[in-house]
Amino acid sequence: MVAHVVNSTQIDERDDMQHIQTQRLLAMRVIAPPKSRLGKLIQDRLSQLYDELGESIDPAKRRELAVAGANRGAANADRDPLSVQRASRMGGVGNMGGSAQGRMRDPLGIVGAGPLGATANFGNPAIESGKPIPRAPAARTSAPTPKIKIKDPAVEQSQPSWVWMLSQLLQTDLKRLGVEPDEFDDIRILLIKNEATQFDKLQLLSRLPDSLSPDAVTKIFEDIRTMAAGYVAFVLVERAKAQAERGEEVKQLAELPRSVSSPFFGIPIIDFDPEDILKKID
Amino acid sequence: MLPVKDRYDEVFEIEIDGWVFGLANYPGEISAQVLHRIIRELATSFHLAIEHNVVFNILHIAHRFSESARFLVHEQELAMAIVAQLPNPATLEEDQQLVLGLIIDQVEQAYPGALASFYNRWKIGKKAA
Repeated sequence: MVAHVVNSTQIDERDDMQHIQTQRLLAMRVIAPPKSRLGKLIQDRLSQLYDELGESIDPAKRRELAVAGANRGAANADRDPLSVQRASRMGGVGNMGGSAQGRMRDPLGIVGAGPLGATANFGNPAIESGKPIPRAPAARTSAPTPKIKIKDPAVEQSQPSWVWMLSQLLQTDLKRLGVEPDEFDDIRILLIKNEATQFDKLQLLSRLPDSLSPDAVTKIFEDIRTMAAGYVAFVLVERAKAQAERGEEVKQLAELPRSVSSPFFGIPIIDFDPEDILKKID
Repeated sequence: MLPVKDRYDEVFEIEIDGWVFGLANYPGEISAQVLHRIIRELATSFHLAIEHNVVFNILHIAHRFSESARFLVHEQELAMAIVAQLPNPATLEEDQQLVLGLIIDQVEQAYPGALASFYNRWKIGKKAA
């Protein structure tokens, strides 16, 4: 019988490798195949990042990579004004904000590299609290990047955000997959970017689509009912006025339209004795 | 033709006008779900109309609803939805059964087979009752 002795270092290394592998799979799963130049760019950077992470997963190294990635993204943005326009469009539509605010949270450095590069502001506690955010030093050697319009995060946060809801759902998924909490943000951003790109195609990014809201039908229905009630009231008053002008006796209708005036009509009243119910409970 | 009780035809007309006004003036898109919800809400009014001997025109109501919803839902679908909300003839008195027959007959002429599709349903309802 051969005993396999595994020391703690080996276990750590194995866990690290498994962890990196999980991240790599997750990242690959959410990024579309490189059909476009941008897709290839992202995938190359993902591979590069995780190869580097494979050598060392020291947190300090990770931060360094993040800053370097952000700088690369900024440099790319400077070189490619068209991509900035795309990023601006994305930011404008979806409040995703392709900006330096996102660079700090973008280890891949794809900020400003195109629509997907418009790294989101969501999930950042500093932004959510409305505090100023430290900006990463951008390596700008050429002409300055055209300014990108960013919505005020405080205003953004005052409205219900479907992105926040989505991020919460994704966080639950990530926990289930065993991803460490400190890795959430990076992966979550990638996942949300993917979702956001799909929503952007549908031009629904700026708000939660009505069809996804469970109360949408009820809300529309109640709005229409309110308008119908207003119409009915108006018509009844006009009828009464017309009768009065003709010198007739003003007669009310025998009934009011119940679907408009009595929303709860038709619900059967249940007769019950509370004492009986209490006795049953006892 | 049976006389209308309590001028309910006027009430019913105002009611339908009100819903059509709401639908036509709603700024957003009207989905089929919303229209079906309105028709379900009108079920009580259909019952009352029949009780008051009002022979209302289902096709006309369906057309108005469809028109006010920018024809996003076909009027045949709406007509069938309205027929589905009508009471089971077995639960009605003789006069009201006649009124119901006149109402359904209009739909049957426009869309042959409408009555047959609901006949089984009413049959099942009668057994259950």
